[in-house]
Amino acid sequence: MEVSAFRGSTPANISPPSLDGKGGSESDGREHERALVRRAQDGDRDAFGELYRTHLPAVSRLVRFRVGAENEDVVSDVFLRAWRGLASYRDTGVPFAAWLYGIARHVAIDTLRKRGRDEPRDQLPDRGVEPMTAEILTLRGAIDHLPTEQRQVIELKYLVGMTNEEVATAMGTTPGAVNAKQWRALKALADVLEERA
Amino acid sequence: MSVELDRDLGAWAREEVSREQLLAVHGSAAAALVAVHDRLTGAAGAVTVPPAETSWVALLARLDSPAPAMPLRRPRPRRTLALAVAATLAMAGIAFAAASLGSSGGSPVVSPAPTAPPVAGPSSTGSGSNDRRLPPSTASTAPSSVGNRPSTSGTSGNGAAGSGDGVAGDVPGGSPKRGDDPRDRDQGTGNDGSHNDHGSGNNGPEGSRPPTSQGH
Repeated sequence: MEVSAFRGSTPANISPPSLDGKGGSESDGREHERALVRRAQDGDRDAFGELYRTHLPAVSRLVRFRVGAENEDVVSDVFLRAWRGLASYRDTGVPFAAWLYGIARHVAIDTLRKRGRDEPRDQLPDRGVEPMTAEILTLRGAIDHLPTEQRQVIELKYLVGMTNEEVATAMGTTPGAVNAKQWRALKALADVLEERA
Repeated sequence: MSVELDRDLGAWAREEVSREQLLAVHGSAAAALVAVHDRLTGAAGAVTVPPAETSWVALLARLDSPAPAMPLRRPRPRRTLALAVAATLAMAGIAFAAASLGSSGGSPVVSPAPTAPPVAGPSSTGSGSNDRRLPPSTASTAPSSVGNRPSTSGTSGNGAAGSGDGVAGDVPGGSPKRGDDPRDRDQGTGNDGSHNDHGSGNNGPEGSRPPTSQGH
């Protein structure tokens, strides 16, 4: 279960070499996850709990980058909404993580709206929100300048921890195209960060 | 970004080339990308993940709670106001139509008016020929005349476009005619002038308002 193991493991594993590594256990991991999702759809909470533990790090990173704070309630909201929406989930080959990614984005947007702002900006330390590190703030601002597809690639790869193949499946494209988008996105990020520096 | 750099970055991602090799070949171009990659990796790694077991127990308790009832629509005062105005106008239009029918004694000339829209409606909105003959003063007074008095002659425009005008034979500076001209050949479009416009709808005196252009 290489993919799941990565997602639940230390963030040091987030690098293209380890993400793109393919192994014979990956398909087994996908099958195992599909089985968990099916069981969870039938109301099996233990199965959903396993999915929770597997994807908790990825969702936490997404929330951290999107909302701008380490907010366990928001992370919990993502999984709660996933649990309530499981009946509508259809396994079309797209990784379950991609489905969670979509939910996390919506929850983050809703959270930000509730706070009265549309995007996480530099004013975040106000109102009792845990301060983001300057680095995450800077990167977040740069990522927001990317075209949608490039932003998705960056978030799916670096925050969710998906492989090129998984991202390609989620976006309906090829791994090669994902690879190219990733590097173009990194180039664009480098340019933005250089301008701001 | 060059094709070679793109290719070699992919090779680096697949661990086919080392970082040193990549930087040695592509120099600063690759270094900038690798630096951003490292920053993203480091920032993502710095995110604190909640303890899975305790947070799962907390979430488990929430799974049992019913989903909050969310209103499908928020109340929208502007929409309500618009609906109220539209309803008022519609009621006024109906009232005028009823009054006009009553005052004309159920004239057969008037009665076809509600069925006139297929004839008169497009003439005022489609070709634009009536609009060219519309005096500016008439156009400016059109809204104020809407729903202000009944019409017995030019009712063909009544509701032609669903606007609920109620007045179609409004002639600037004149009074509504009671009954059609005997020489009327507008085939029930509601105009009473003696000239024949072949059903285009404007049969009044030159410069008069076409019957269905009110409110447009």
